[in-house]
Formats: sequence, C-alpha cells, structure tokens
Amino acid sequence: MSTLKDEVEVLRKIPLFAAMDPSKLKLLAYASDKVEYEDGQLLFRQGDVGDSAFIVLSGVADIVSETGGTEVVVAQLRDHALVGEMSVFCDIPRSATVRANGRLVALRIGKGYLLDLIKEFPELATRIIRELAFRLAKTTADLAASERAARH
Amino acid sequence: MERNLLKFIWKNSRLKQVWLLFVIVASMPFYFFSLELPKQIVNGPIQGRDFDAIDATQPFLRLTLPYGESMFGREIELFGGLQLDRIEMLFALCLLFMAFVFLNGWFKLYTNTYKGKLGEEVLRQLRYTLLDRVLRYRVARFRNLKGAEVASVIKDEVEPLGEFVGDAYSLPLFLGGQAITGLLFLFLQSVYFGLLTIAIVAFQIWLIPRMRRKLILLGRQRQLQARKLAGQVAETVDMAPDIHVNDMSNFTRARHFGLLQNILDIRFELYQRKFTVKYVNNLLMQFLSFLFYLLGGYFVITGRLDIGQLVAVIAAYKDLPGPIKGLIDYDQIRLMNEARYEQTIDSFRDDGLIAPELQSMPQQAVPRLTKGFDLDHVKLDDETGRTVLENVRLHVRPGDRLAIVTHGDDAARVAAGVLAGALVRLVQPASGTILLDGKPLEDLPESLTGRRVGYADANNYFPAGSINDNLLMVLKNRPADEKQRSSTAKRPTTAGMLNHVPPPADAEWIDYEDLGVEGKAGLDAHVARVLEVAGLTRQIQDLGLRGTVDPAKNREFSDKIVEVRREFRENAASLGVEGIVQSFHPDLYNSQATVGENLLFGTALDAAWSPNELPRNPTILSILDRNGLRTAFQEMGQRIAEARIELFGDLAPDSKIFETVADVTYEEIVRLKEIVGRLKMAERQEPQRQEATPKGKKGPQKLSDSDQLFRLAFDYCEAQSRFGVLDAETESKILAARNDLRQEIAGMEVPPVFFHDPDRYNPTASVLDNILLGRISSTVVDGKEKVLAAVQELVARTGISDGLLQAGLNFEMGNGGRRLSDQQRQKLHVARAILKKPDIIVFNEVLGAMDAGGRREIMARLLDGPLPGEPDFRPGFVVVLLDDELAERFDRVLTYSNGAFVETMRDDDDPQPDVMLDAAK
Repeated sequence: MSTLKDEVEVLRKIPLFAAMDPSKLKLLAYASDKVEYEDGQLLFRQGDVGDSAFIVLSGVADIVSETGGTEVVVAQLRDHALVGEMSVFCDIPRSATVRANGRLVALRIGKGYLLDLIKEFPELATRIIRELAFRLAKTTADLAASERAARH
Repeated sequence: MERNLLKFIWKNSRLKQVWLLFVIVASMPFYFFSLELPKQIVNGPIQGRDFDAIDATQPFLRLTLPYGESMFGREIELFGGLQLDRIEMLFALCLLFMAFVFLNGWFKLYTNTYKGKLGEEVLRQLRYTLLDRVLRYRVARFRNLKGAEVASVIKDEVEPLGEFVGDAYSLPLFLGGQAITGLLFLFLQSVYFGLLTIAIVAFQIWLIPRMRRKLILLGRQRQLQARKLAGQVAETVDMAPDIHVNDMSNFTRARHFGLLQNILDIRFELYQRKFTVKYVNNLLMQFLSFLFYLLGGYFVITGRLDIGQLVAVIAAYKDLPGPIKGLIDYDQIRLMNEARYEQTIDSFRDDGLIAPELQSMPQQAVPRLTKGFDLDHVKLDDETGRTVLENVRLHVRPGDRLAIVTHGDDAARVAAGVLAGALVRLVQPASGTILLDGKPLEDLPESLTGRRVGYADANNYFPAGSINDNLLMVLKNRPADEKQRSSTAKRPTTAGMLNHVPPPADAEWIDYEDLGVEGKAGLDAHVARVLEVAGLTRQIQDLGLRGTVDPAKNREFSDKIVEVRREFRENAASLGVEGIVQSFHPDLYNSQATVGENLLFGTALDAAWSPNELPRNPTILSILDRNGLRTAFQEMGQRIAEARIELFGDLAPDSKIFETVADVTYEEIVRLKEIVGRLKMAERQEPQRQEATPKGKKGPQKLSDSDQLFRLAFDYCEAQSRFGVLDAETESKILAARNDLRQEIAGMEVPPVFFHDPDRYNPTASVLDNILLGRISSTVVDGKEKVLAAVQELVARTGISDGLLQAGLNFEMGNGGRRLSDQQRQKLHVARAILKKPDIIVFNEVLGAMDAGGRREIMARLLDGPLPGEPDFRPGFVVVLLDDELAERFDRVLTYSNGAFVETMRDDDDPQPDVMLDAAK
C-alpha cells in the first residue's frame, strides 16, 4: 500500500509539481483519490462533462479520438502525465477518450479540489500555466511542421 | 350527554352502586362486633367476671332469638353454646376477635377494590364517549381545536371524577345514616338539645353553599387556565424552530409565566376560600359543644336537668360531628367534581356532530358506486366564509376522468380545492345538493364514502408508526370476521353513553374479499403494485437495505440474505464488482475499515461497545495492554495528529480546503496543535511524568491530552488517510488482540458484540451491510455506485425484492412521519388513495413537493391504468391539476376563466352551456 509519502515522491517527479513545497504536495496527494483501472477501462469518454483531472502514477493510458464512429489512438500517456485538466479549467466537454492500456494506477483530483488548491497555492497556478503554455508551443510547432510537410 | 354528574354516574353504574351499598351495610355488624369483643375479653376471662369458681364455665356462642322475650314472654334459646372455662374462654374470644379482624379487613379490601374498579370503569366509559365525540366532530371544527387541550381534557381533567365515582352514592348514604342515628339518639336523650343541634346543622346547610359559590367559579377558571397551559406548551413544542430563528424564546417564556402566575393566583384564592369554609364549619360544630356545656351545665346547676341525662346527651353528641363533617367534605368534593364535569361536557357540546349511524359498521357488503356525483345549484364557501363558487352543476360518473385546470391562479386554486373538498365532505356546501349515487352525500354512511371514494391532497401528515401501519390503516374499516363484528351490535344506550364495546383493534381488520385479493400474500402483492404505481418501490427497498431486520421474526428473509451474501461474494466478477468490496475475514486485517473496527470485528449490541466508547472501554484497554498495543496506539495517534497538522496547519480558517478535502475542521487542527505543543513541552520538562498529567481543559470530556491522541488511532483508516502510520507489525498485533477479545467475550454471559460471521445474519447491522459483510474500497472508481447497482441486480434476481420491500415497509416513520421526505409522504398519501380501490378518486393538487417531471410520470401511470395486472380496476378521477399539460389525458376538463369554471369536452372546444359554474361575484 502506498502512503502519502510515496505519493508525494511520485508527484515530485512530475515536472508540473517538481518545485512545489513538499507539504503542499502532500495536501495535493491527500486531496486526490488513488484510483485503479483494469485494462480497457475508461478514465473518461470524449464529450463527457469533465469533473476531475488525472495524474498517471503507473501504467499506460491511451488517448483515443473518436470521429465518425472510428477510434484512433492519437497519443499514449505514461508515468506522471497530467490528463483531463482542460475540461476542469475551461468547463468544456472532454476532447478525447482516455482508456487504460493494461493496469493503470492514477490520482484523481476532483474539479473543485484542483481549483481550490490553485487558489490556495498561486505557485501551482504558475506551474500549470507554464505547462499549458509549453504544450501550446509544442502543438503550434507540430502544426507548423505538419503544414510544412503537407505543402511538400 | 347527561348534564348532571350524579345522574350520569347513576345511569352508568346503578347496579354496581347498589351492590356496593349492600356490601357496606352487610359489613357493619361485623365491624361493631369487632369493637364489642375487646370489651368482652377484658370484662370476661381477664377480669374474671362470672368465673368465680375455679372450674366455673360459661357458654360460648350462645344464640337466642332476638326480641324473643317480648314476643313469647321468655327467652328462646336457639343454640345453647359451648361450655368453656376461663382459659378456654380467653382463647375462644381472642380467636373470634382475630376472625373478625380478618373478616373486616377483607370487607375493606373488597369495597376499596370494588370502588376503584367501579370508578375506573365509569371513567373509561366517559373518556370513550368523549373520544367518540371527537371522532364525530365535523372536519371544519378541527380548525379551531387544539389537540393538546382536547388531550388534557380527556386525560387529566376527568381523572379526579374516577376517584369520586366509588363514593358518589355509598359515602353520603353511609355517613347520612350515621348522622341520622346520632341525631335520633340525641332526640331520645333530650328533645331540646336535639332541636338545638338541628338548628345549628340547618344553619350550616344554609350558609356553606353560599360560601362555596365563588369556590366553584374559581375551580372552573382554574380548569380552563390549566387546559390553556396544555395548549400553549404543545404550541411551543410545535413551533420550536420558529422560536429559535426569530429569537422569541424570551417572549415565549414571558407568555408561559403569565399563565402560570394566573393559575397560581386562582389556586391561592381557591385555597383561601376553601380553608375559610372549613374554618367556619369547624367553628359551628365546636360552637354546638360550647352550647351543650354552657346550657347543659347551667340547667344541671339550676336543677332543671339531671346530671345523668346531660352525660348521656354529650355521649350521644360525641358521635355526631364525624359524620356531619364527612358529609360536608363529601359535598365539597361533589360540587367541585360536578363543576369539573359540566365544564368537560361543555367543551364537548353536541352541536353539529355527525350522526352515529353514519359511522356504524355495515353488516352487509358495501355496494360499488354506479351513478357517481351529481351536484346541483351548489354554493360553496371557503374557510373564511367567503362564497367562492355558486350555482355549481356537475355530474361525475364512476369511470369519468375529469381534470380541473387552475393555471396556478389563486382564486381558481381556492375554488378548485373547495370543490374537491366538498366531494369528500371535508367542506359542507352552503346551499344546494350534492348527490352520490342518487342519495344526498350528507346522509351517506362513511362506510360507503370512505371506501368507494379515494382522496388525497397536499397534506403530508402521518402518525408515528411503520410505513406498513400507515399504509394499511385505510383498509381497516371493520373486522373481517363476522363474529367480531356482530358482537358490536349496539345495546340499548342510556344517557347518551356508548354502551357497546368496540371490537379489538388487533383483530384482522382487513377484508381481503372486499378488496379482491387472496389472503395475506395477495395483499402484499397488491401493496407492492400500488407502491410501484406511486413510484415508491425503489425508495422503500432502499429503506429496507438501510434498515435492520430481526432474524428471530423473519427467519426466512435473513437466511436468504446470508445466501445473497454468499452469491455476492462468489459472483463478484460476473456482477462487475470484483475487488471492490473487501470482505471481513476473521484472520485478515481489513484495510478499508478503521483500526477500531478491525479490533472489534463486529457491531456493538451494547452502547459501551459502540465506536465512540471503545477508547474508554475497560475490557478493550486491558486487551490492548496485553497485546502491547497501548503505546502503539498512543504513538499512532501522535503521528496522525502531526500528519494532520502538517497537512492543514498552514491553512487559513476560512480556507475552502476544510470544506472539501480535509476530514477535520479548523478548530480541530487548532486543538491538535495545542495538544501536541503541550505534550512536547511536558516531555521536555518531565519526560517520565508525561502520562500522569491529565490536563486537556479544552477536551470535551475532560480527557487528558494523551488520551485525546490515543482516541485518534481508533478512527484511523490507512487506506483513506495514507499517513503511513500503520505498519504490518501493528496490524498483526491488532489481529491477535481481536482473537483475544473474541475469547474474552465468548466467556461473557450476554455478549456485547455481534462478531462478523459469513454464515450468520447480524441483527444490528443494516441489510446492505449484511449482504456486503465488508467495506467498499475507496480506491475503486465509482465503487459505491457499482456495488449498489450489483446489489440491486442481485435483489431482483434472487427474489428477495419482496422481502426487502417488506423490510422497508417496517421502517418507522417517526413523529408526524417526518423521517420520510415531504415527497415520499405525499406519494404515500396517493398510494393510500389507490390502495383501497375506490370507484372515484379525488386528487387535490397532489405531489406538490415533487418536481414536475416526476409528478407527471406518476399521474400518467395512474391514468394509464392505476394497477398493472388489474385491467378491471378503472376508477373515475377528479383531479385538481398542478400541471396544466396533463389536461389532455383526461376526458373532461374544467377550466377556470373569468371567475367561473367552464367545462370543455375532449375533442370539442365549445363550452357546454349546461355545465356553467359561476364563481362568486
């Protein structure tokens, strides 16, 4: 059984939380539920209302895009990835389905808790903004690359 | 009812009063003998009179014919008696004396018991009559009636009457007899003194009632004030929440005190007058003795009366004051009770009572309705007396579906409500006629209207009792067994009393045949169908899951639950709940349960073993000591406190985290900080005495600081808090302690704990806990929902849903039914209206507490066919709608527009001129 301390260690490895105060990480770990999924179980489905964000502790999660009845695995998340935060911040439906690929252990942070934690610890907000910005930059770069590839 | 108390008592107990009098008179000779005997014992054998010779004998029990000498000129000896010597005579007389003592005691015992019983019988009859009146009041009267005041009259005010009944006739006759005898003796001794005595007594008889008039008046006032107090106290209890939210407690106190002061004032004046009367009474009697001595002495001295005569007069007079005083006291009690009785009767006046015939139990089957309602020129008033509908003409046949649409308009709702109430006699029409099946509704017995017309409105009151009791109550119209019914045939009544005895309430009152169900099983199925229609099945099953079942009373069901438990465990995978529930296993530590739960491994049957009490339970403490867990728990508590402080110690008091995440409050954290701080300080100063310093002035039960931390360990669950303070070693020690505890408890006579056992049903745990016999894992996503869904599936599959429904039906609804939600109670009222399968159902804005969607669903189900599986049951409906949209499901619609109800037929939008209903201008 993992204790809060173990969970804090795991959280610390996640870039998003790396520089956070250990006691605050502990609170984050405490606030979240550790959830276990069997192979093929869904964390959430595309189009659902988002009520929580997930941090993968161990295992692999497939990000599946469903368009017109066909499923395409667009990405795989491994240890320490944050997923599902977009719905929490923006109140938009889930943009993709996330499914456990093999046994998966994750921390689930309820929407309310995550927003409360951000209010309580502004530095966490900064971290998340930075993470999101990085992702945006990466997506923009990817998009430019794929456009370039398409032109050729 | 008889207005006079003595007449009332006589009419209701005359034979018994006569018998009582007879017994009292019959006991008198024995009493006098027992007074006479001691004199004989002293004079005879002790002083030795007539025993002059050593072996002299005297006859014992010699019997002569009374007045034999005067009739026949000589003594006629009936029995010569036994010749006994002095010692023998002493024994014989003493034994005789003892026999009379026994006999007198027995007479006393018999008459006292008889009087008591007689009083209670008449009291029961009086109370029963009063209750009968309450049941026959018209509904309108209850608007001005305070329940507590009525209760106070029926229960308390008539109570003293019971004590009076036994004495009502016997005492005055008895005392009167004594007084007259005394007077007679007096007259025989001296006519003048006799006349003197009569003059004084006559003065008393004239004076005392005059003095008492005010007394009676005060008694009445006191009774009224006491009744008012009962009403006020009940009101205060009922409005307790209002008092608190509006800061009215002080005003309420003042109001109560004012009344209490009134009662005191009245009581005080009452006492003053009562004792003044007593004083005057005594004075007059003593004045008589004064006259006797003065006048008698004067006459003796002046030689007009000889001394022997005066002594005889005074001796005769000696016996007089007792009975006279008794009579006067009796009269006082009689007057007070008379006043009390009149007051009681006055508050239960006869005006406008429903005739008893309308409530009598019918001897034949109650017919079905054929013609329905006919209203002609009916004028209806609302509660304030304002006319709201005039000239109503309306026909409702059984099978008609009539909707009354109000569009939420206030005037329309009042009018519709009054109209619906008039159909079930809750409102009396001001004029016009309402016919039901061709007969005036007013004259129809309640056995017809109450069974063939169903009614429900927004009312959601239920008396305390189980759901089942409250549901089936409406079917209990008369005992099903004809014999029990016929024994209730009325005997000739006297004095307006109910002389018949009602059938026992615990007889079978539900007539299965009339209801069209077969036996108890058929009734259960009928109830289940009704609940399904009313949308209550699932909710009641949930109550059943959360409720407890007594396996002693319900063997079959509890055995089945144990089977379901097994099935749940074995088929966890197919039910999709594998690994979600961590079962209780005697040899394993259940990580989803708290430390305390793991230690006890069962549920408490005794309050001293409940989770909160465990840390103080001496048996538990000694077992912890034995297994070396005391200090382990102490340390655990310390680390839990530290972990909590670390987690939440920096948060602001108003932080949202406390509301959402933390399982402790800010105040609790502050307290823990103080405790930990104090303990650290103490450790630094005096490490060895740390345990011995009980401090904790902030602790709720004055626990020492270390005890408070010790307690924390019991509620700790590693899987939830994950502080990492519970290691495998401690767990195995707890398991050892659990075994230890089990052995300890096995030695007790009454086990205070029911241990978790996979093969036994736990009567103290809920049905759900019995099925699971384990804890739902907190790490599984939606674990609880999945488990509940699986249990529901199992319940349906294994056929225990009926049993579960029954368990739920046994749920106690609490005071006023308040343990159920408003909407559940309203649904239950609707269910009751259908349950009796009436021919016409009147719904007046029912299910108002529900959301519109759910309400429409239920109404739609009702209109589709109220009871699935019973296509023949198609009652008529008169429904005052809350949802106008539903109108299209009805055959006929009354719409309120421009101050009048207008009827539109379905598929025909022209108003029908012959069904115009005018509202008041």
